[in-house]
Amino acid sequence: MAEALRDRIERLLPRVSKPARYTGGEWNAVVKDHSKVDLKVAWTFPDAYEVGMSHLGSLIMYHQINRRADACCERAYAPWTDMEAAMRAEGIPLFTLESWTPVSEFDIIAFPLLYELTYTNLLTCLDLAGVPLFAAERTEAHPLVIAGGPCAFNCEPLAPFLDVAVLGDGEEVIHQILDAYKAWRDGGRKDRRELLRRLASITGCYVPGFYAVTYNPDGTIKEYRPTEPGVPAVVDRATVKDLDAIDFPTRPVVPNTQIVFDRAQVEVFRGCTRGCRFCHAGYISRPVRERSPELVQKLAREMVRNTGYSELSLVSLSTADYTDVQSTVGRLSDELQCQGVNVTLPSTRVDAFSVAVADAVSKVRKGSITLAPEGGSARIRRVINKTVSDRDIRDAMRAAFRSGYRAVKLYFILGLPTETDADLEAIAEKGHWALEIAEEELGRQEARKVRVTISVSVFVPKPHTPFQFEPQVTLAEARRRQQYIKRFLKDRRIEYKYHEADVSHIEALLSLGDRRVANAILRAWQMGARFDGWNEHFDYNLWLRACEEAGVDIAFYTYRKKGYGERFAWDHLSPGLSREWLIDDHRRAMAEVEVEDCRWENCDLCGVCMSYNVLPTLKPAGFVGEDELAVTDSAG
Amino acid sequence: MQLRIRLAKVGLARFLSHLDLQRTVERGLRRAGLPLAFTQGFNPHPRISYASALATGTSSEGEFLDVDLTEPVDPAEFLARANQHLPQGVRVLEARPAPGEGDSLMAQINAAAYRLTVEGADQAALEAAVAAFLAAREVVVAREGRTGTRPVDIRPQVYELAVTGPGELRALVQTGSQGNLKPEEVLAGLAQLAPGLAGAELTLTHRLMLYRRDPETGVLTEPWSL
Ligand code: SF4
Repeated sequence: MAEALRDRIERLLPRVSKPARYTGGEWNAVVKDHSKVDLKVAWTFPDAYEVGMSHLGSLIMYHQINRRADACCERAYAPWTDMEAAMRAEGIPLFTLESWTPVSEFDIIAFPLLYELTYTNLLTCLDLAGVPLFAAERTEAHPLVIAGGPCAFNCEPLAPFLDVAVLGDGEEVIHQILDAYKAWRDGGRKDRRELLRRLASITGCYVPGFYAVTYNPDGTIKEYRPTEPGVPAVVDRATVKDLDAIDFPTRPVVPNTQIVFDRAQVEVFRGCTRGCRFCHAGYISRPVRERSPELVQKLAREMVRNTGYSELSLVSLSTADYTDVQSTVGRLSDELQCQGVNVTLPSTRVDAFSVAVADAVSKVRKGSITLAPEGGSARIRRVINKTVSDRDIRDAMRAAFRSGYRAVKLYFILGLPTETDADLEAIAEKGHWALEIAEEELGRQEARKVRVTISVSVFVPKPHTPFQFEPQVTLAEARRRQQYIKRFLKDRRIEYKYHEADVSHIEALLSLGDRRVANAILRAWQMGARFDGWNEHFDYNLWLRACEEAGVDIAFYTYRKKGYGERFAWDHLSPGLSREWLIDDHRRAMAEVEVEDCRWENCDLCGVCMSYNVLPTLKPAGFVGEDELAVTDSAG
Repeated sequence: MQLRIRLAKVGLARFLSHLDLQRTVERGLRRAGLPLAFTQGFNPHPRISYASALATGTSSEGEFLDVDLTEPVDPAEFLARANQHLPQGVRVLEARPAPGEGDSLMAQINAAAYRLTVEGADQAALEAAVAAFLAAREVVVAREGRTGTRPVDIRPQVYELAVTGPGELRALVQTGSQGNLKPEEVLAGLAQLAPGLAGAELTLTHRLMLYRRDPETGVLTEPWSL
């Protein structure tokens, strides 16, 4: 069967773009004999191969499942539109890259949800797999469809399509899920509801089908009510307390073809408590939990040896904040340099220190350095709690030019709560600052070569953040503001880039939506929406028509200011924050009051640590004995 | 020390682009812990030079590359270690010390031998077309370039052409900086010469070997002696 399918797929490949996306056969791919495992999981990434292969969480979960002797995990990706058309024409189902097995033959299909604009691809994957789109239509003969990742914290727009959503860190909960599945199947695989009941009792597992929603006459949500006995009214997230205690993949699948982040990745910490009020990731993954520097170094070494990558990235939401960042980066850099391996940090804070750190590792050609002040004026940065002063920004720019960078990229968000035209002018002003400082530091002649990029995205209010009560600016207003900034940017050395506002508008709909939005997603998909996160595919008018036909009022979800008392679609999906704290923090935002980072300062009582009995964990060097971490030889 | 390597890219690995292949080989050699020599500068990369780029979708057992090493490695050991660390479909077939100080392989290689698998072709028509092709003084096909399509006479670029089995051809054609003939163009040329080939499709292109061909005498030299 698999052989025949493989041959049929092989015949399509000369006709499609980037065929290496579909061939598998990568180094470190885990191919197990299906007759020797009990449980088969198809890890199905609802985006292109090159995006999915760059996702660290997927590599982690692939490893977690495959390290079990009784289970196998294989990968599938959303086929690009040309491949989808070819597969449909030839009647070829969605298949896994490891063994060319149809995804429908797996026990579990797991979707990572990183970005709302992949939702239509999720439907493509289910449909190509031949699995009913609606959970209610699946029987014991069908795979269990689960989803996890950041978007799971408001997966309501996908509720009718998912059997289970998993909230929080996956490394431990996945084993409970697999064990529960096995126990159910060994018990005769009787009732699918029985399986779902078992899963609903696991911390972190949400079964949308076990909740009934009622609405108020004004369209807002009245109530979420569990319909099964024993199902929690509020679903808690799964939380890994000690990163050192869980296995990290140092033998990840190494792609043969170009992917987005084509490098080895070692996670140095999880969570971030800087409290930038627009940042979804910062609230759903609290508190900070660091991995010890000794372990990071050991993992990095093994990773480099097992992959052959020429770049190693230390990743987290803000790696420059890692307690032992300088010596860890310095040591790794020195050690790996002679093997021709560069160490990099992806995200940087905006101050001279982070530039110094970036510079320390940047033995690479001095290309561009990225700074993300997010807000133009100091005032708006207080509103969003991006605790960066104008002075920090100037210092960072100065440090960048001094250490040899000739290109600076500046990231901003437009449409932030309370934003005025003065804040927009302040965005443009930062571009001119960069040029002024370049002239001071480098002289007129050299400063001519400097390139400044101002990149502006449109604010999307996110669930579980203090800005969840805020509306998005209207599309027309977002476009006006984009043009307004442009007026102030006349120097040829400044490049101005802005994201399509209509993409952000649909992103807001899918971020803030409830179950009723599912119909719009289905309709959009039926009308041909695919790869909505890709500019060449996104079609705003199609989404407008789909929403209209589905009776979904986009403005209701996106443009409405929401009261502190309103019941949200995600209120029963808990990352552990208290509503009172979110309200307080929203009030502080409006009053332009900043909060401190609880990893260094006092606990601000956001609620997470108490809810989940976890503590911020910083691990300076020496936290773990070196001998406990003696490098095992795992080559070959 | 420099080793000259003959490499195969077969099976599904044929869908790797030339860049993908370079990336894959580099990573494999790094994993194998071979003493690769790196370029100087801020962004060091191993000194590996390829004789010729291979199109995506074309398989091969005749890719040649020179690898610079910082210390001597026995070719047999190189072969064994590299193959332990290369992914499916990419194989080192032979390794030998690179001869002398001549021009780069890339500059010297000017001919490539292919095996072409053609489907949907009437065998008699295929044989007739090959005979006609060899007898022709000129075979003009449309060549796609960056600026559009233009007619080219491909006859002088085809040195040898023979039917080797049902739906199977062997061709020796020009490659390299002086001119590069695509196997599809050979089929396009044949299709013009025989009506029975109208629906024929090139389903598999396999590069067998690369050569230096003496333009005067037509004598072929394998990369090992260049
Ligand atoms: S509960 Fe306190 S320490 Fe824990 S994440 Fe919230 S503010 Fe930080």
